[in-house]
Amino acid sequence: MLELRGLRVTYPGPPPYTAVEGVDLDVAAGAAVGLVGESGSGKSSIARAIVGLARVSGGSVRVDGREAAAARRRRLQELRRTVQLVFQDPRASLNPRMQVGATVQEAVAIAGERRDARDRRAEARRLLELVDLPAGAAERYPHELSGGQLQRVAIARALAVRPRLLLLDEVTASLDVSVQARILNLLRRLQRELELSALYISHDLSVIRYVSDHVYVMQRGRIVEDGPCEALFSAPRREYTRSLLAAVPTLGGDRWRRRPAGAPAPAASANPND
Amino acid sequence: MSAEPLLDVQELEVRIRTGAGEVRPVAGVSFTVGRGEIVGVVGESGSGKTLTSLAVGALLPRNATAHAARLRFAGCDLLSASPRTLRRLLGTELAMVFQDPMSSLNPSRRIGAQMVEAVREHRGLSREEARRRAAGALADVRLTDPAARLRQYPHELSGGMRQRTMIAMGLMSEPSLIVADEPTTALDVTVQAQVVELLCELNERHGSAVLFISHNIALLSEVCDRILVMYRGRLVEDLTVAELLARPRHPYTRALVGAVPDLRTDRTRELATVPDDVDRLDREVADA
Amino acid sequence: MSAGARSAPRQVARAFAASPTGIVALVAVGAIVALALVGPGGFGPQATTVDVAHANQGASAAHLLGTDNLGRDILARTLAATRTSVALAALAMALAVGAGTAIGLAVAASPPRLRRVGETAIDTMMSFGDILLAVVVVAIVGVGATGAVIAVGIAFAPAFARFTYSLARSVIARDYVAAARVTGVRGRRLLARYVLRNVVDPLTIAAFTALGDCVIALSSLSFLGLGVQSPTFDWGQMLIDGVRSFYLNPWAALAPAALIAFTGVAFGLFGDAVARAANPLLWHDRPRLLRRRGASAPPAGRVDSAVSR
Repeated sequence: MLELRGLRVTYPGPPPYTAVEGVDLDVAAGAAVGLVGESGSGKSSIARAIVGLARVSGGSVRVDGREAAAARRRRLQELRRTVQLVFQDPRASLNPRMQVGATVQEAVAIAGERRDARDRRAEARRLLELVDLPAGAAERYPHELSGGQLQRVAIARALAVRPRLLLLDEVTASLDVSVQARILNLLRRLQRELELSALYISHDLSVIRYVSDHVYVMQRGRIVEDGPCEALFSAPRREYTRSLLAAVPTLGGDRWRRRPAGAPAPAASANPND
Repeated sequence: MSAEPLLDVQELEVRIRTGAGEVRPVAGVSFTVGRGEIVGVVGESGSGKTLTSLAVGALLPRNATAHAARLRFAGCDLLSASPRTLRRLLGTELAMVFQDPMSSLNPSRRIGAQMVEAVREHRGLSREEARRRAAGALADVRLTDPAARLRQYPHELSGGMRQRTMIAMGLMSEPSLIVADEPTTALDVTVQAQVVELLCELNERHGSAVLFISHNIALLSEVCDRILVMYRGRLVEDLTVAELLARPRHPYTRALVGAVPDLRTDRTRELATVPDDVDRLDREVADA
Repeated sequence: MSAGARSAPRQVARAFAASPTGIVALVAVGAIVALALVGPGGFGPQATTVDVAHANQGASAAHLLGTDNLGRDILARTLAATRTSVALAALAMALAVGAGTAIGLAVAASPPRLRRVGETAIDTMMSFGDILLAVVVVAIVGVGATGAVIAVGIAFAPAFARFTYSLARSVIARDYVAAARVTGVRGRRLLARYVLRNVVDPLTIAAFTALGDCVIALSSLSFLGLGVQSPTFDWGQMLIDGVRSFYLNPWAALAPAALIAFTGVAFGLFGDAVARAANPLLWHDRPRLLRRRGASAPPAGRVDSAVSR
């Protein structure tokens, strides 16, 4: 479905900055692939480059077998019907002056399948229902909804054009954990039901492990390691991956514990401030 | 014979005047922090965890007031203390570390200048003495070349280094309590580990207690002795990590634990979600 | 989670009615508009009848502000001039805003190289002083109301172009515009729905303030003799004679001057209130303390408020 070979993404600057260098990455049809890396690793740049928001300065991007790098006009239009991107901050990625129903409806209109305004409205509502939003949500403006609800709107909008590949760029990073859980559950379900391919991008290794079948690890613009999820997490080959995994907090882990969990704190007299 | 806790909060309430009337984003919160303890506060947005920490540090914004049945810190009654005493006490015994060091550090002043300011005001040290302490504090937080750092501006440092600087600033006065509000949320996971390591080290060496506020319950479970769970302005559970790992009593805590994926989460099952009507469940737990 | 969905216009009206500035400005603007509607005719012959025998008289029962150098009642004449002054200023403002916004948006939406050319062009136009540019235009187009309106409109257009350009650039950099592009929204729809709608607020304030400025600019042109020509009169025109006979009766100059100032301030405040009322983000004023994860925290340090029992 998606094939990146030797991808290089450079921002013009000044000074020119190469965010991604020599990246090879595959997303098979219907697969969920995870891309994990710390900040500045270039993972978001990859997503932006695929949909034409960042310039591909080298290498190739093949979507559904056809070249997509440096796409112009018509090719770009087609591309944007096959691949869609959901941004990290839903509050920033929705037009504050448009009702969310209108935003989704606009995307439906662009998809071009429904002629009638009434049909489009119905389709927009269907999409909002698909992402578990209540009926009244369509008339709301973004500032009236919570982060989780807005992210659902963003997902609905992305789905409106019937893409086959969904790029999810840190989509739960700005959400509460309970909301994150719901969104992740929703995404997994939608992916299965709609037979979508998905590329999950995140700095959160636990989230990536939970949603992906295959995982790529990025550092400073390059892919450091990749492999099937279970294998990579249980037996990482590269030092960098190991150090990342070692730093992830685990419930009940004892990395920093100096006394056993549940033991009382040291006595008051131990305090040098006395 | 139990010693008086370092921080004793009973029935804390925060009231805020808004255009639409008065709201109480924090109500009926009671907890203690013993000397040298590391206590975690976990909650999501709207839980009131940040307001609680601000109330303790007397840093609430103008339209908010804190009310409590008891609010004692370091043997002093904060409710009846004069503003002067309060300022002195909080300036020396309490250190606050916030999530975004860039907005807590003055970008137009050198680090050294900012660091010596507080300690000179409260402890009356000379400039040389203060600078020496500042350099010492920076060394304590494992920043390389402390003398050079003092002359740098905040934007010249990375996020992790800025966070350490914040901690160092707090340490200058050898506080008995460090209140850290999401200190690692904006940092990469490896840097996060370093900052947490640092806080634990400080706790061990200086005996400073830590009130660690975070949304990341897994992180807290690795660091803290006890965890306070907050939801919509109320403290729903106060438990040790052992109890957390065994089986928390409150459904919200259970749901929270189940909702966070970690490296051992079962990938075949859906993540647990927080039920919408926690209040009802709350009553159920209380009745049980 | 969200408030009941009331219709947008009603929310705007509510928000407007809730602000003290809004009410005051509304009343002031209302008064000005009422005067403009009444127009010269409504003030009877007093405003225009020449009566040299009673020229330059001070305030009296018959003439509350006295008479001007041709015996006309100053108060009546000043109020009568409202229509001309305000209507012409409105036309000039419309021209400035229309042309300026269009240019600003067009340049903002252009590809980089063209944008740089456009930027330079706008900046160059702006470097001519307002009045100077206006005078030049009038010299070309010819004196009189039409010429003056075109001149002032052209004089203020570059500032609007620059303003719109900056606003549009900052909006275009936002995620929601990028997201719209990824969805497939293009060209004029993108500009109208995403860019224009989000620059409207500051533009509205600027437009109303500009209205006040246009009144002043047109008055200046008239005062220089380049604007409205007799027998048509506006405040600026009145100032020509008013200044000359200032020591005989200061009201002849003070009255029109006062109204110029009053109109400027009234429209400025009005624009401010309208923009604020129309901004959906300000409709529900909730305490900003309930921050979501990821937002920055207040600075450490000072003790602001003591805790209380």
